[in-house]
Amino acid sequence: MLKLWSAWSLHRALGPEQRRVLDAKKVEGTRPIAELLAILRPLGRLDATGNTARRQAGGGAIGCGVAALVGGWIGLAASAPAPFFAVPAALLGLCVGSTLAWRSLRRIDLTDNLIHVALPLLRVLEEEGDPRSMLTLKLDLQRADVAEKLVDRKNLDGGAGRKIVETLYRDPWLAGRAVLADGARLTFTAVDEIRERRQTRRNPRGKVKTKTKRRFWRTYRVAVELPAEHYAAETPEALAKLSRVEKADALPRDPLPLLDLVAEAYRRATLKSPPKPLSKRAMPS
Amino acid sequence: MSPFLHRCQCLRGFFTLRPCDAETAATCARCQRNVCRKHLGGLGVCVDCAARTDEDRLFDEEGDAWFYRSRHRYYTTHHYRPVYWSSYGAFTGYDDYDLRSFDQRAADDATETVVPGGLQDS
Repeated sequence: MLKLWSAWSLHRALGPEQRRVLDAKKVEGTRPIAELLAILRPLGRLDATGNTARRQAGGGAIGCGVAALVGGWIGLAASAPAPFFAVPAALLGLCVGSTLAWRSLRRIDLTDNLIHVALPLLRVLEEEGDPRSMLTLKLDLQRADVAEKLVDRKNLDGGAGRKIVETLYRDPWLAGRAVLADGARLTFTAVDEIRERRQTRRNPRGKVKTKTKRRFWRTYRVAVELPAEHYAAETPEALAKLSRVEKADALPRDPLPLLDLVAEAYRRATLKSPPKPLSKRAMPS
Repeated sequence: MSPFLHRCQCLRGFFTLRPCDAETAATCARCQRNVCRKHLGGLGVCVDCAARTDEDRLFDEEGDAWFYRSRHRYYTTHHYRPVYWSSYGAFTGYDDYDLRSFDQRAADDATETVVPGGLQDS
């Protein structure tokens, strides 16, 4: 209940820009990194609190619903007096209230990629950039299994009365580019590919059983162009293009593979001469 | 006297490191470095010292403690040697990270004089 209250107050504290992002569930544009962080941090906080509150509201709705049914059944069986039915009625009211809260929290739910990958990555980029650094960011905060990300759906032959529906989704949820404080040009993308297999079968007693299995492939692509005046690249071309595919049953929960790719580009470079300090650089016109 | 002594001596960056260089607000109780407001933790120590100890758990999770803890963990577990660059010459050794430094003699700003000991006048 406390989490529900806290999610509600976090939602109320959002500014107009953050509400727009929450409605569209997309961020697109070029802005200073600190400004993007200031917009996305409260949304991340709301999402993390909302996740817990949603679980609590869902559990509460089920619990109250079951208790209302049991209470009502006992009252009817024991021919209880009318005031007794106030208890199951109140529980039913709580169940409806919790369901409504759960539904509204689900409506404002953002993908966990925001809190686990995007925000930590932006914080690293803020440290790597200078206060004038701009970041061009395209961030999709919708779930990966929405209709617009559906690529293919087909029925597979399961045999023995099994029906298998395989659905493929492609979610290019992150893309961005930035110039870092040392002059390096960084471009990055993250694409999730999801295979969902829903298997339905009828058991010998006639019950229909459904099992859903998901597999995730996340591809990180990074291009780092280190300034030739400061770094001598290992290979003749200054641009280091690296990519990595993460395969898992659950989505990765940190930006480390992406950071590893950028670190790899720096590992390969040899140091030539230091960049000019920020205070001595000319302001861009 | 070098202005470096009055500037924040904490390091900014993740892949490359450079001094923060903001105005000093306090001195770290553990490493005695000058630190600015942003790099001062809640226990009177700098964020780098806090990241090296368990005490950083006491810091606000919504703050910057995550970043410094992750950076420290990344350097120690991924064996990453960050690049160090600064306007004040070579690294003076107040940190225990295995840093890669640029050759200061190759600096393109030839007007600057490198003072022995890693500090230089601006």
